[in-house]
Amino acid sequence: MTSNNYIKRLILSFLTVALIAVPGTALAALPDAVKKDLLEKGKKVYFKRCVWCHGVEGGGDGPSADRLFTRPRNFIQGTFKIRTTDSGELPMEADLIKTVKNGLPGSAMPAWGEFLSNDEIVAAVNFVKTLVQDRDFNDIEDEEVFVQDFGTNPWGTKGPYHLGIPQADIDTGKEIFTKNKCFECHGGEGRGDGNPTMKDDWGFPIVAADWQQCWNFRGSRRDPYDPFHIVRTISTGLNGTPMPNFKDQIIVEDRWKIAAFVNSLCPRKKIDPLTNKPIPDFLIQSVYTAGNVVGKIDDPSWASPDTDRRIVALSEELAENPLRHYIAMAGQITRGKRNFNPKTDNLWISSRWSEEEGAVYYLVEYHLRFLSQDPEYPDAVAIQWPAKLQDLFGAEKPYFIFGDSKKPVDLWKASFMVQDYSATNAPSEKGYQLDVNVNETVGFGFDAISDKEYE
Amino acid sequence: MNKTLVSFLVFVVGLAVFHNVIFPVFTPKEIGWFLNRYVYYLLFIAYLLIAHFMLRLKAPISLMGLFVWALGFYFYKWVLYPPIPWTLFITYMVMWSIGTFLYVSQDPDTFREFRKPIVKAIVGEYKLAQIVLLTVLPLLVGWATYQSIIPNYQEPVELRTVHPAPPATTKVHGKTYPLESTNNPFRIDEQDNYKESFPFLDADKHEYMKYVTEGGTIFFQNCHFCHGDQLNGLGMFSHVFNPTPANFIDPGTIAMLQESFLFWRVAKGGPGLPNESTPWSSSMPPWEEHLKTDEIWKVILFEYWYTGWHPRTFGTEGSES
Repeated sequence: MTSNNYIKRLILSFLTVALIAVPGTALAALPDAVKKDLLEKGKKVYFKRCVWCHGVEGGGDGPSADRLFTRPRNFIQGTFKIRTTDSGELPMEADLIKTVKNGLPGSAMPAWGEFLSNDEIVAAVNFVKTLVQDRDFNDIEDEEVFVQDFGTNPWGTKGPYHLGIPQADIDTGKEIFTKNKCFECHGGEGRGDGNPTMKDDWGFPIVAADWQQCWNFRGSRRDPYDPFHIVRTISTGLNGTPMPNFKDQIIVEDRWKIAAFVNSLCPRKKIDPLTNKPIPDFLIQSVYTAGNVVGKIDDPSWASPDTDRRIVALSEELAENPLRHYIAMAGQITRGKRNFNPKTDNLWISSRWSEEEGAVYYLVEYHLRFLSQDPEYPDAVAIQWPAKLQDLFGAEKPYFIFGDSKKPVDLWKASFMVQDYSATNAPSEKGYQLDVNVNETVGFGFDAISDKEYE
Repeated sequence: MNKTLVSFLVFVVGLAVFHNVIFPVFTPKEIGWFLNRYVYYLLFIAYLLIAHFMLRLKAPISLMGLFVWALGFYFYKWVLYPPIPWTLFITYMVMWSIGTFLYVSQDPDTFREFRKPIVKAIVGEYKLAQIVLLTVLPLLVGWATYQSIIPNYQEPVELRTVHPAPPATTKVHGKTYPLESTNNPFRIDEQDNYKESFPFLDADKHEYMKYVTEGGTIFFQNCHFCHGDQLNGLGMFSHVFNPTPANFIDPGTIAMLQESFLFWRVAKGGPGLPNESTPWSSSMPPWEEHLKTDEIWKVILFEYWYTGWHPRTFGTEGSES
């Protein structure tokens, strides 16, 4: 290479770097026009795969819609959540394709990438664009879009767990979080419980994301620990929902720091690639305790990180503490008031037992984003056990919807009511007072529950 | 350069390049007559032979034996598809190892040559190899023994029958259905005629599509939570349950069952399972409590239409496969 050539190249690469390095630049572009030759194929895919939730006209009103929370997207207004374009704008075609391929975790939208071919997905996306009535992907005058520049990961962390972000940046992120009042919706501890009364653009109830369950982030693209997805959501907002964009209020470097904070709240668990959820701990270990178990939930002996210790090494003082087990939950859709859209989809359990007391203790934690209004089902959790284990044969189990006449179950039910908690307040460092009330019942069937009596 | 070393490099580097670069090319989504994994494997062997011939390499018999053995291991572990169970893999590899041994002991000369490095290592002519052999090997055995007896926590084993024997009859909504002879009343036409039809849009034109649409509607109101929007058993609730919900795309589920079997399973759910399936081990609700008989049949019709499978039939007429 001649030196002249070399200098030219050097200048060129400097220019490229300079272009990339200008923070927050948005590139004006046009929305990808509808590819008309794909529509016939797209219609076929749509009416076989998508119509059941998104409806015949794309109004988000398919047969399943009424039983889903969050509801399927209504395409008619052209509001799409996960974009790289500015708030309120139409998405790029690549955004929609990524959404279809990876699904929207935490909702009923599955990942179609392994199920449909790339051509089918592109065709379906183009058909969906024609379902948008209020706006027009072909309108090059009014629908100019700005594709945002989100910068790059400043810490160079690697997937899948993106560990090693410096604590100082996480702390700064927390300050920016408090300053911008993110807790008003996402709650003081990022549990998405800040405002239980929110509505989306169509008037349907909606909740803020629970940051402690990043595998349920809609735009996480099956890569839940990557802070990039958080930066994108903060920068573009989520069209159709109360989530605004912070592109102009917060500079892009600070958005990465908020992402570091949000990201740090999410426990590192091994994620099942098929379901995109943490693998449930089917076996709950109870830790032996010499002497009495401390019966207070905020006692340090109960402190245990929810992160998997095979992924992140624990400090010595925590290593002896009880494991916190992740239990996935589904709605009970068989008996009584059928729950198709459970608001809590997991809980965490740790346990200790004491020989001296002859007792087992369970600490059950869950995130409730709606306080129950129903006096019959208050904020409560119950554990079911086979009441007559010795009568069961082998691996036989009782019917765990409150047992039946032959195989009863014991129910330990604990109700909690928080006394001085208001979700929209800034986080309280002291914690909150709980009204806890425990009772023990025995179930001989869904409608046959009575108090447990000891002989 | 040492020809043994060159031969070894030809094998190792060649395998690395073939496996990482050429193998993905030969395993596309749609397999062709040329672009498939077995042709790839033959190509790799051809490469080895040609490379050895062109470079006039003659590796010692012990190395050749190692190559042969490694080729077998590579084939069963990575090339053969679908993957074989572990026990079968062990069986094949034992046979392959015997074959390799036969190859190296084909005549006294090669066998002597093969034995030479081993004997030298044991008697101490190769000092380092002897030390490694006599210290690392016992340690490895000790470690394996320790690993197998160290106590660990495991969830209890639960054995269950996946497709339990159905009862002769099942009683749903006051009517008794003999499972052997009951057919889907809504299967009024050959399913394959409606492959290209649209639910909802064609529901007025074809009676068959009307039933499919109604069945799909019920499916997406009740069943998709577990069995998934793609009918692959990966619905929103699926990760919660053990055993996991049935995957209808899989050739081992509805594709090999009669429709009447599905009818019985849908109507009675987990609580209706016989003892061999360990009662209550399935969280499938007994859908007779929530769906009408006709609705259950329509859901079944939809499941076959969507997946493209045909129900198993035992009649002489119209039996597929």
